[in-house]
Amino acid sequence: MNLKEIKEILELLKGTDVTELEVSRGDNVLKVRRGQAAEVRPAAVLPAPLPPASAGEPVRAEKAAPPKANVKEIVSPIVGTFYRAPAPDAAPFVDVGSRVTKGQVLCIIEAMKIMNQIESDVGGTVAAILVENAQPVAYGQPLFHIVLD
Amino acid sequence: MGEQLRRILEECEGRFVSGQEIGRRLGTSRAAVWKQVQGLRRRGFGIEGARGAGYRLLGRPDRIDEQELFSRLSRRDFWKSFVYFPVTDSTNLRAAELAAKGASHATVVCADMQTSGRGRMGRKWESPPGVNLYLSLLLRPPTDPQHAPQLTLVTAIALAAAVEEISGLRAALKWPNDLFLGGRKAAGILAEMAADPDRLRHVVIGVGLNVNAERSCFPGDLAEKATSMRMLAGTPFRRVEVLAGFLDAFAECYGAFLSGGFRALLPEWKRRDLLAAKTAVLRRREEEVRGKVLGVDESGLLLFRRDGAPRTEAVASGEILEFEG
Repeated sequence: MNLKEIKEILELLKGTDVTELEVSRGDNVLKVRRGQAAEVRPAAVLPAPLPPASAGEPVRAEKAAPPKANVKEIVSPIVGTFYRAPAPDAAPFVDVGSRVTKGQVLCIIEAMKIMNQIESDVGGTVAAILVENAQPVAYGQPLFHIVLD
Repeated sequence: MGEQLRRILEECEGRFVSGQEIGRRLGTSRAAVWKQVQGLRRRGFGIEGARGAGYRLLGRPDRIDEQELFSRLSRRDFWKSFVYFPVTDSTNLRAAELAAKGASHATVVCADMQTSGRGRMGRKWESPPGVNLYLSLLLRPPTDPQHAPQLTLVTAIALAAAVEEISGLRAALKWPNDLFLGGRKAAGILAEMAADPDRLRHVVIGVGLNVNAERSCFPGDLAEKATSMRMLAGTPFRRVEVLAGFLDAFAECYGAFLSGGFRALLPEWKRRDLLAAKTAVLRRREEEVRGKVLGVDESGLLLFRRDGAPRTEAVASGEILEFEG
């Protein structure tokens, strides 16, 4: 099963009300689940979990309204839980309206007790925080909109 | 320098060995032997020298000595650099700092004592000097960022294998990052990663292992929940041996992970899974839910079935608060 075939299968599902699908082809199994992404495995496609030779690019979470040209969208590189502060009683890394510089930490995504500090790769102003504190996020899910300087 | 001499003295287990004998085995003069003895003394070894009798080892400090560490390591090919601090705030912070300065993959940062050892979400990790291991591994894995969290579990497996090998104790693993001995927590892992959406920059894996801590090392409520290798085995261990054992085990597990994914290590997890088939309370987000743990899947996710729920969930993020059964 190649990336093109996986894309085709996913295309076919669009506009249907199918919530779960499993396709086997030889040793390859494609499992697709839709809806309530947070509770189950948020990444829709689960190829064999071999890190260096994964079967295909995981499907990204549905994007919200595409950001404008001068807006940088920061997305989550992993499945996990979104934290706006380094500790429960600490101040958030950023708020809407905060000025950020390139390399500044915006939030933490935690999964299996690995803390992923998400840094801004641009300088600008935080225009939107798209996820609530302590909520689950999917791979590729938009987290912040940053208006570029 | 001095490693061969150390080995000769250790072999003799406190009996005198003549300078002449040592010189013969090292292929050096007696004067050179004396110089090496001085070298070992400076590193904290207690060595008695007696005219006519030679030298004998009185005591080995439980120091984490870089030379000794490397001489004990089998996987010297894997580990590139070792950085040691007698005291530091947190080895994870030091490792992250080194990473930002471009330190290489497979760097080990170790401290005798941490002044602000950290657990998850700003919790404290007790880090008294002289008794335990506090270390961080800096890695730059060629993996997809999505798979990086599995390294927490890979590290836990390596730690369990090393502790078992050295102490003969049986270790159990509590998903995703705790090592238990005799029903109490003896080690924790806290990892941090820096990644772009499509590229992993580095991972820092912090490990705190209670090696020789005594009950009195743990404050108040921890005394009931925590333990150490020594408390269970009834005998102390040399930290440098435990460290070398862990670093060797990690190199093996990491190799298996890169070539076969977490799936390749799943049997090693299952053998030691503390939670499988237990009823448990899972805290995630702001809620606590009761259910049953079925185990861990091929991606390292916790398989949990909430009471009354029709399906099993694969949990990436959460904490098991209580378990029984």
